[in-house]
Amino acid sequence: MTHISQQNDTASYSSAFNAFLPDRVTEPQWLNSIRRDAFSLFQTEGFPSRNNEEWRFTPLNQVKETGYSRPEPVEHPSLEAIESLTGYSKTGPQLVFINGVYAPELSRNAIQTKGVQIGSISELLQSNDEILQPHLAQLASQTATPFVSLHNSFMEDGAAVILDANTQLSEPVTILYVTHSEQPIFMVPHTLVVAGRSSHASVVEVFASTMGANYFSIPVTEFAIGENSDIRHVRLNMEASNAAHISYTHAEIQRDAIFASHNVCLGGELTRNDFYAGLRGENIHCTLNGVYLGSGKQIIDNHTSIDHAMPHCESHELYKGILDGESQGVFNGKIFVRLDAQKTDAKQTSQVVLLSDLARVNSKPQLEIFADDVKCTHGATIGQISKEALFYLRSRGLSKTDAMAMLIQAFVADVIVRIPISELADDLNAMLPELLERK
Amino acid sequence: MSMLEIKNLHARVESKEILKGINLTVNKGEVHAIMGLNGSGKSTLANVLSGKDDYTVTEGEILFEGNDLLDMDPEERARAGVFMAFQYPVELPGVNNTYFLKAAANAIRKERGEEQLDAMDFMKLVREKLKVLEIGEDLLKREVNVGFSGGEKKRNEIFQMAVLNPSLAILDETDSGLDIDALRAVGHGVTKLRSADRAIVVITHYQRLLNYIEPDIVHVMMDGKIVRSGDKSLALQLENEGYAWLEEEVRSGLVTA
Repeated sequence: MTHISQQNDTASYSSAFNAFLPDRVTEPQWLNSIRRDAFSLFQTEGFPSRNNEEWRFTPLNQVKETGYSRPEPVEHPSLEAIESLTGYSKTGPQLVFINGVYAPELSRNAIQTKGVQIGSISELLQSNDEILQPHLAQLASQTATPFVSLHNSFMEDGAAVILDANTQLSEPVTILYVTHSEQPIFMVPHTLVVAGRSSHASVVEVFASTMGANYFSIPVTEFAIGENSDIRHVRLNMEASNAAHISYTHAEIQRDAIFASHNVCLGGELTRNDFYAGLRGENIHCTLNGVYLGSGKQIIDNHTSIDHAMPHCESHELYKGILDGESQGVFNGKIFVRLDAQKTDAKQTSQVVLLSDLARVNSKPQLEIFADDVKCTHGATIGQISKEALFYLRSRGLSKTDAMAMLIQAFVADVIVRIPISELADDLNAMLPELLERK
Repeated sequence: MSMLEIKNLHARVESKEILKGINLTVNKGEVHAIMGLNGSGKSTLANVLSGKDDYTVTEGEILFEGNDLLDMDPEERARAGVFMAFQYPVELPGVNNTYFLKAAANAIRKERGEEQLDAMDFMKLVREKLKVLEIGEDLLKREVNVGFSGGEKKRNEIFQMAVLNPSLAILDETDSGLDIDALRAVGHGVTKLRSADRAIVVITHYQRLLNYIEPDIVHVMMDGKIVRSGDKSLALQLENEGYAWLEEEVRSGLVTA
C-alpha cells in the first residue's frame, strides 16, 4: 500500500478532528474543553523534529507520512482469538478494547469488591463523569509531548480503575488493547488508575494486534496514587511488527506509597515510551523497570523521568535490552532530585546485549541533582553474549540455539522475576526462546 | 574398538604449533593420567578434545568410538558421551544450576533415544548423585558457578559429570589450586565415578590427585608430544624427582615419542 505524504504533517488529523468534534457534543463540558485545548496545542506544536534533543533517535517518518485515519466500527474477533494473542491465562477482571473502543461482550468487569470500580471510560463518562473529572486527561501534562495533546484531542475510551481508600484487588486487572484492522488507523486508548489511600491493585496493559497492518497506537496511562497505597503496573507491548506505538505514562505518587511499573517491549516497528513519575511525598518507593527485545529494523525507545520532589524516597530503575538484526534501542533515564529531596536513594541501571553487528543502542543517563545529601547511582553496560558461556553450555549437550536462549533468559531474568504477576513472569520467560527464534 | 584414539595429532593456536604429533589410545574402563609442565600442551589437548574453536588441527585425527571427533560440534561430542571437566568453569549469572543440568541431561538423552526426564525423575537422579558425591543440596538452587569458590566450581563439574553419565570423561587440571579438603572431595568424587564402562583421562600438573584416582597408565607430555608412558610409579617418580631427568633423556635422544 502506498501512502500519500502530507504536505502538512498535522493536516490529516485536522480534518479527522473536525469530523470527530460533532460526535462529542453530548460529552461533559470539562472534557470537551480539554479536547479543544489539546488539539489547538497539537496544531501549534506539530510533530517533534529530529532537532529536538528528546526525539533525536526516534524517527517519526512513519507516523508523519502514513495517512492514518480514525477507526471504523468492525466486527469483533472472538475472545479465544484475543486471549491467544497474549498467551497467559487470566482469571481476574479483564477489559477488552477493539481498535480503542470498549468491547463489553469480551470483557469481565463484574467486580464484587466494594469501593472498587473497573470499567470503560466511555461508559463512565455517561453514567458517572464526576469520578473521572478531577483526573482524566489532566495528570499527564498536555505539553509533555505532542503525542499527549494528540491523544487528548481524540480520546474517548479506555479503562478506568478507581479504588476507594483501603480497598484491595486480589487479582490483577487486565486491560487488552487489541487492534483489529487492515487499514492504517490510529487509536488513542486511555488508562486511568486512581488509587485511594492504602489501596492495592495490579494493572496489566497489553497492546496487541490480530493482523500485521501498519497502524498507530497513541496510548496515555495516568496514575493518581494515593498515600500509602501499593500499585503494580505491567505494560506489555506486543504490537504488530509494522505498527507504530508512542505512549505516555504518568504517575503522581503521594507519601508512603509503592509504585512499580514493568515495561515489556516486544512488538512494533517503532516504539517510543515515555514514563514520568512524580514523587510528591516522603517515603515513596518507585520502580520503573523495563525489558525489550528488538530485531529486524525495530526501534525501541524508552524515556523515563523520575522526579524526586520530597525527602526519603527511593527509586529503582533496571532496563535490559536484547537487540538483534538492525534494530535500535534507546534508553534515556532522567532523575531529578530537587532541593528539598534530601536522603533520596536513586539507582538506575541500563544493560544491553547486542546480538548482531548492525544493532545499535543509545543509552543516556541524565541526573540533575540539587539536594546535597543524596545517594544516586547510574550505570550503563553494552555487551555481547559471552562466547565462553555459550561454549560451556554447548559442551554440556545444549544446541547453539538452546544455549543462546538460556543465556538470554538469564540476562533478563532479574527484570522478569520482579514482575509482580508470577503467571505473567513465567509466561514471558517461557515465551522468550520462541520470541527470539521468531525474530 | 578403542574408546578414544588420537593419531599423530598436530594443532596450532594462530600460527604457533602446540601439539606436534600426539598418539594416545584409551580403552573402556581405563584411567589415564596425562602429566606435564606448563606449556607442554596438556590444556591444548584438552581444548581440542572439547571442541573449542580457537585451535586448528593441522594433521592427524581423533576417533571416539570409531567416529571422527573433530568433525563434531561441541554439543555433538557431549551427546555422544564425551564430558570435559574444565580447568576454569564458566560462571553463568541468572542460569539456575538445576535448570541448566536438566536441559543438558535431556539433550543428551534425546540423542540417545532415551525418554526425557520430567522434573520429578530428574530431581530423584540429582539427589542420588549429590548423595554419592557428598554434596549439599543448596548447590541446586544456585546460579551456575556464580560466587562459587574454586573447590565448589570443580565439585560442580564432577557433579555434572555424575548426572550426565559420559562414557569418556576428561578432567582438565581439576585438582589445580584446590585446598586439601576440596582435593579430597573431588578425588573421592571421581573415584566413585570410575566404572568398567567409562574411560577417564586426568590431565594434571601434580601427582596428588592420582593418590585418589589410581591411573592405569601415566603419560608425560613435553613440547607437544607424549614422551613417555608408564604405570603409576612414573607419576610418583616425577613428583619426587621433577621433570629434569626426563627432559635430559628426551634431549639426548634416549626417548622416542
